[in-house]
Amino acid sequence: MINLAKIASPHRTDQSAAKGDCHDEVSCRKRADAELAARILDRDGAALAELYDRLAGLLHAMARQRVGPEVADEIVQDTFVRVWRRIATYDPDRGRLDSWVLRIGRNLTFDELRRMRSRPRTVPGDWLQREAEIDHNAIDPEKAVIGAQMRDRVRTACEQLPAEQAQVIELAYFHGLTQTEIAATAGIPLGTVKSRTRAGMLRLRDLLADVAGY
Amino acid sequence: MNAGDRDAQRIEELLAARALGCIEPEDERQLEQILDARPEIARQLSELEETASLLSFTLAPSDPNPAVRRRVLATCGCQVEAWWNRLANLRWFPALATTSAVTASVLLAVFTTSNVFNSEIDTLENQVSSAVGSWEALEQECSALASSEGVGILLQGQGPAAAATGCLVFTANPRQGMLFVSGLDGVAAHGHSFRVWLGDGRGEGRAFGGSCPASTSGRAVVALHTAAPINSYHDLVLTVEPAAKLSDKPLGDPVLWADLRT
Repeated sequence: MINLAKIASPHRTDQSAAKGDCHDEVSCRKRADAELAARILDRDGAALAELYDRLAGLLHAMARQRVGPEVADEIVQDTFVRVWRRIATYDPDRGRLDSWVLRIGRNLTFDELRRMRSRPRTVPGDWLQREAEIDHNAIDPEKAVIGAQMRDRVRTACEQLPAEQAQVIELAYFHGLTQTEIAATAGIPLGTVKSRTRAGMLRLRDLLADVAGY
Repeated sequence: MNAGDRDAQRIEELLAARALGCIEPEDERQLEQILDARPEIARQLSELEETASLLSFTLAPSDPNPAVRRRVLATCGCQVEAWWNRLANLRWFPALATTSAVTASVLLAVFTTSNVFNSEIDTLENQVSSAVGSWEALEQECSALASSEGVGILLQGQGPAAAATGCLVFTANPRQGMLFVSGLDGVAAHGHSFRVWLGDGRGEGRAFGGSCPASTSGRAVVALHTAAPINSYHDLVLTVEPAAKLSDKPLGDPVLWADLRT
């Protein structure tokens, strides 16, 4: 099983373990997230840098797919400035700090896409394959190990989805299409898109329950 | 399938679409009505939103331009490069420079250091003392500045911190300021933070302004960053909060209060 506390805050895991006052991986993760967020709230630049080093690569990868590398740089910057300003609104009980940050970045990415009024012309169904081809050598080894654990865990869950459910989820999450646009792109009825979206997300939720901690 | 099952399935469809960000506007309005009527549904939405966010972890990271990291930290006041930009922009600097340029520099260093390293106030005091002789001298300078119209505001403690005094010094950026407080001895235990909140006078809650760790010295230095210009707020309070407890509204009772309309 992956070490969620380590993923949540790799630099604080030993400290947390030493204190021995969190009972399981989820509570350790929540506490590590709360501590890191509290340090950012206290205007601790090192804490923001720690969070940046942990997530900037993922944010950049997510944005780069949609808006290109230069605009992706701007989205990474805007995301962390927003995190710095809005950290008081983060609630550890409602989810991982990483997820909260990634959600901000994703929203900014698709806001930018809407401004650009263009849609990507990628082939549905190549999401997991395409990501497997990216060179991992440039990534910091420690971060790479932690990220790889999480990536493998989520990818394994995604690969258990029927292809048609994975397709609608990919078009929605990574391509920013609405359900009507997904129906047109995939050539299936809108009702089918909705039912596949529901089935796929409920299945993923169950498969990833231990990772998410809900 | 009975009507109840269909209803539940329909709600799950709306929640899944919302979590993925692909919901249609009409469905969005319907979901909002459901969430208003049935708050317990929000829990399901949180779970699905968390699930959706995890999808990002399937991506292999790609490195942003290294300059992005520097810009982020500089924008957030976390790097030395930002010091001199601030120095040039401080509204009160010209007046202060005529009396004590050294103090101005130290004030700036304190302002920046509180952002950069989140140092304990004791460490800041050592830095201040080595440059201007004593923390008290610096505090007097700030109080004198705060007494000048348009440059700052004096603050008075209340309740458990009745002996506390402080001053808020404005900067050229209307959304930034520097708060100095002393006399907070015994008000906050280790593991707590002082947090600053600004009210709009309409009783609609308070906006977070800044925070610093509680110090055994009874002193606090808080760099304020606010969403609206500081002088657009009605008043300011300082509260004591558990450091690890995050909230977008004050949890503790105010120990310091200032009317910002004066």
